[in-house]
Amino acid sequence: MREGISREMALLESYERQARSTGAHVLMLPTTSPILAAVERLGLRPKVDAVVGRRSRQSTMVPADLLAHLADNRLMSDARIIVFTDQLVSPVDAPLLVSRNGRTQYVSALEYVLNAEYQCPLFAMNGRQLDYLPGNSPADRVLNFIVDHLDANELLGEAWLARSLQIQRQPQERRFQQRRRVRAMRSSIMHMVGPSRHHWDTSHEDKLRVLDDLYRGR
Amino acid sequence: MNPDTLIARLIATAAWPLRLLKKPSERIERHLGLTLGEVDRRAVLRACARDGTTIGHYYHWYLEKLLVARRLNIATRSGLLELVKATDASEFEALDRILDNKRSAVLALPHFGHYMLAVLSIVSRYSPTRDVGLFYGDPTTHRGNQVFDDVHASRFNTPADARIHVFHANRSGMADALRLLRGGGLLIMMPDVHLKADETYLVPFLDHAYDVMLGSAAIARKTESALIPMLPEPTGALRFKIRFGEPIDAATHLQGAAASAHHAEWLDYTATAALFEQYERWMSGHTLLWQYVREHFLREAPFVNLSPKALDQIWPAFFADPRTRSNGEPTPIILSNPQVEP
Repeated sequence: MREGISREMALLESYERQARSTGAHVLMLPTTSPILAAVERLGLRPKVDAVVGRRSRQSTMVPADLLAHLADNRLMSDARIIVFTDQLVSPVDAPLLVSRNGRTQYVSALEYVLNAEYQCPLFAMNGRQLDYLPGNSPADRVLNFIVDHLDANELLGEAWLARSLQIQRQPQERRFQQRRRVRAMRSSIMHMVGPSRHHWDTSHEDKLRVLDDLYRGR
Repeated sequence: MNPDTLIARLIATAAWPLRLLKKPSERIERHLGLTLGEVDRRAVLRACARDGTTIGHYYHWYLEKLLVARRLNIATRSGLLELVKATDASEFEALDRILDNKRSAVLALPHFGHYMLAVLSIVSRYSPTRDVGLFYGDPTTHRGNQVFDDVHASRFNTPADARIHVFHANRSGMADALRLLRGGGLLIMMPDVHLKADETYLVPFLDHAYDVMLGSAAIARKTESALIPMLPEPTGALRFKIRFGEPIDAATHLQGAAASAHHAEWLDYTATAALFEQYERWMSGHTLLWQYVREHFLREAPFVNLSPKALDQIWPAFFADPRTRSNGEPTPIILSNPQVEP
């Protein structure tokens, strides 16, 4: 673990040197214990303007929070935004379906929006190296950059704390969870209409028809 | 009493003090061949807290299951029937009254207690006079069901057993089961299992939402059969008594065909929810004897009870939620990987 932290710290120190002359930018980090520890040890957190990830983490914003904030506030010229891209897996946070080398998955749109709309360069910690993409890059390069980062995370093995979340990027898993959600609502409606089983209350037929369509993927 | 049954009864009785054990014991689990992880143990302890029992009850029950499983594997036909006779204290008068007019019935039996012995009890009592079927998931997809196939094929498949049937849950099995019920038969179904979790419905059950299929209720409705909940309750060491509930008639409220597919679906849903309400009342205090107790008490999500007003309030947000909206089969953005390009 100590060696791990040292390596992560060396990379983060390298990032610090490059970032000083970069202006507003995004740093994409994988969710691992050494990274979280290194971020704390370098005192990076007080220097960043936002940490974006899934909502369950304290002091973490979700992409919608950040974008809402940026809609109302100008992006500071030296803003630093840390994004835990590997945590952005839900249909809300990862809406873009991309396919590369036969692998199809949903990825987040936040990095692209920040790169295209706010001209933020992207840094990404990919295994043992720090990769860089200039602001306002073509969309396919940004998406490739995100996929490269996720692929690099795959090589982290057991250390990658967000590994179990990644199944949510798969289209078939999305479909499965969506159908589960629709069935749960359907069950709640069916249960609400009971328990008087002598009379079928037709007032919910419209909603059930909507659920039929959603369940069938229409 | 058959010596093997007697020995099993003696072991179960001698092990009764196991039930006093309040804390998990890896040593006992090892002796039982029980592999409980920390998460499983937590689930069992939650069930114990709900029941007001101890984990020792779970160990003792597991031992009983092992004793019965061993007998099911090796006992002869007569040995099995003798085992049922020695362990089953069921009274069938109430069920006989319901079935008196030769009405067909779906007997809905969850995987609880000595359910295998309960099946044998029903089969041995009723198959001399009417067709009795057991409907279950194909062992190729429900591995645990192989035992049903084996017991039937090796010990209940003689010419004298012509009225005993087993049906796998597939198209032809369903057609055969419908035929059996339309001919006045009894069909034992196990409503607490499912194959595909995105095809289930949820019902409130033992503090959480539980995934169910509506098959038992639907088949009862389609054949105008009585839907009868049953549960083998424990009454002592290697002893049980089957409880039969009042019929939950999915069909009789219909007065003809369902007004719509949604109407039929609702009838089946409410009948299934009523089944599980009944099971919850019966199982309370003994939930450890339910085969799926571990999986169930790992669940966190409660059943969401909605009022019409709450439904109207949340409906727009539910409908607009990206987790609810299906984007069908979206076309992915094809990326060429710059690293592998020539």
